[in-house]
Amino acid sequence: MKSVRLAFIISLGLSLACLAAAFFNQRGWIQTLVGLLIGAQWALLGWKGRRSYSLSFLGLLALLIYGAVLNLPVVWLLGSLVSLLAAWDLGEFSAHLVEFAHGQVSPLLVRNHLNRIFWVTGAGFVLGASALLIKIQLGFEVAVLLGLLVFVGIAGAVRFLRGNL
Amino acid sequence: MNRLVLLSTLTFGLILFGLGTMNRTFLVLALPLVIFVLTGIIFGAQTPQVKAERNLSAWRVPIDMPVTVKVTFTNQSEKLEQIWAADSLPADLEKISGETSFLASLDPGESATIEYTVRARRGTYNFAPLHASTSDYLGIVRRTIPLRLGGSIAVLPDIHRIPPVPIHPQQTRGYPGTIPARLGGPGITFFGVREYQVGDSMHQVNWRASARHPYSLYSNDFEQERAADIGLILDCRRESYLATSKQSMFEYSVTATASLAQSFLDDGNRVGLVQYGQYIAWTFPGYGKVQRERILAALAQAHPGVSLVDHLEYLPVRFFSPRSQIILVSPLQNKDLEVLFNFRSRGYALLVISPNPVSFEMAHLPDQAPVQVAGRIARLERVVLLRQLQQAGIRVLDWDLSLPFEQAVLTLTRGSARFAVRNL
Repeated sequence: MKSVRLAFIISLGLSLACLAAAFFNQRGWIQTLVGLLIGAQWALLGWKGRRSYSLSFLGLLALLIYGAVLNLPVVWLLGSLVSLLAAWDLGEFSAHLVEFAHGQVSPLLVRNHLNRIFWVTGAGFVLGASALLIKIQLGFEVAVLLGLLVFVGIAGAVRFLRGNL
Repeated sequence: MNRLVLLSTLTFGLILFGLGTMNRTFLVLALPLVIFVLTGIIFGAQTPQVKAERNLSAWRVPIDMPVTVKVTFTNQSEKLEQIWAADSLPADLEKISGETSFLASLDPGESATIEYTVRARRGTYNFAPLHASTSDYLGIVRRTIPLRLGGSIAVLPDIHRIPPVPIHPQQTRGYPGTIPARLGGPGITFFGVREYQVGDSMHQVNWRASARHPYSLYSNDFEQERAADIGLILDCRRESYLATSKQSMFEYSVTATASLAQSFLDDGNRVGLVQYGQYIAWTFPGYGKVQRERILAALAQAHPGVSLVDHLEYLPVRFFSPRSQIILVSPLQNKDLEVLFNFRSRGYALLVISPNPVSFEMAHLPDQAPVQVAGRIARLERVVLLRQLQQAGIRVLDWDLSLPFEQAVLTLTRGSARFAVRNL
């Protein structure tokens, strides 16, 4: 359980560091400060094993999107997002473990969870970073078509999930 | 918030926004989210099938006897990356040791077991239906599996082995037993002298009486002992009982009723039970061990309740055989007298086992002069109440709860009930 908390704090710290670095280039002191405050509050509650991750996660995500609108360096934003996802997951997992503090918890489960989050976030970062190297010129019509495809695809996925879950 | 919905919405929004504004940053940022969601869907897509089994070391136990509960979950589907469940204990069931919840990964066919030990006070405890939850490691796709898993523990009342309670109902049954039947015949207790009949044993001939009448022979007659119908009435009206944080008079009444039922059933009598409280619950009269189990099960569930009718007049009289023995276990209220007189006038033999509320309360009050005076007045009122019952031919055992029930019953055995009342 301690390893999960430690991983949570490291992920959150990494995410905040990347976010601060991204805003630092644009001298966005206020955004940096807000991000650090949200992160500190989240870290404190997460360390105690309390569930407050969704609001903090959304707050930091909003800052990230704001950074994307300001055209901040994408690599920092990508690093921050990937670490943020890891922190979000680990925060919840930590709280879940606290609920079972008086029950049986398989140590293998904790190890597998940490492995999975490491590989998923790693793959996300690598895929995102690789995408930065690819440049495709899209016309407006193609973009709309792709948007429609995404819409139809996600709607289908949602239908599938609602039918199966 | 549902993680799948949240992440899917974010992913969808970022992609659409990126395409709309032709800003690649948003599309790049959407990629880790897509990976996250897809991983969850891939690893959490299969429908979980879990079989659960709850085993209890005992389901009918005496008070404070520990019961070990073992719940085994077996995965009957593909690998379950995360499965968790928590067995919620019924209120008043105290966990002594072990764990009631678990969180684990289960390979196909693998099982996980939670084991814990509980103990409880008298009562019937039903376990709530159990649910298990499953998800992938990242918690993206979560499912709840209802496991139709019941189970209950009945904690039976304490039973004390008591000496035989002397009762004399007017009507007995045709089977041999231990209750004097007011009829001459084979027996032990001398009943009377009658003229010699062919077939009488020589030992039965009363030589002294025969010597006084030279041309006649007389034989001793003995009182037959038969089984009887006994109706136990347990007063479950809340207003009849006093209770402190640690003790309740009601528990004493339940113990007394259980002990009486066991004693009479062991002697071969037919015993029924009526619980008169919030509602009337009856256990139809019967014999033997099965009937004992029925009565104990009923007593395990007994609890004092607020009665809709606050006196005993709605007691189902026809439940009891005519002119049989009725034993009422109740601290008694003044308004109960009339109903008890009616029972008596209908020919029932009535014995009242009455836990003494005055001595019970006095034991929990400070030893001060006003308390002593109040206690004395209450005691006098109670004596008057019990005397009225005795004058109507109702036998009363005024049970001081500082005495064990088996000791209190001895006063019935040794002498008359009046003696018992006067001395307690």
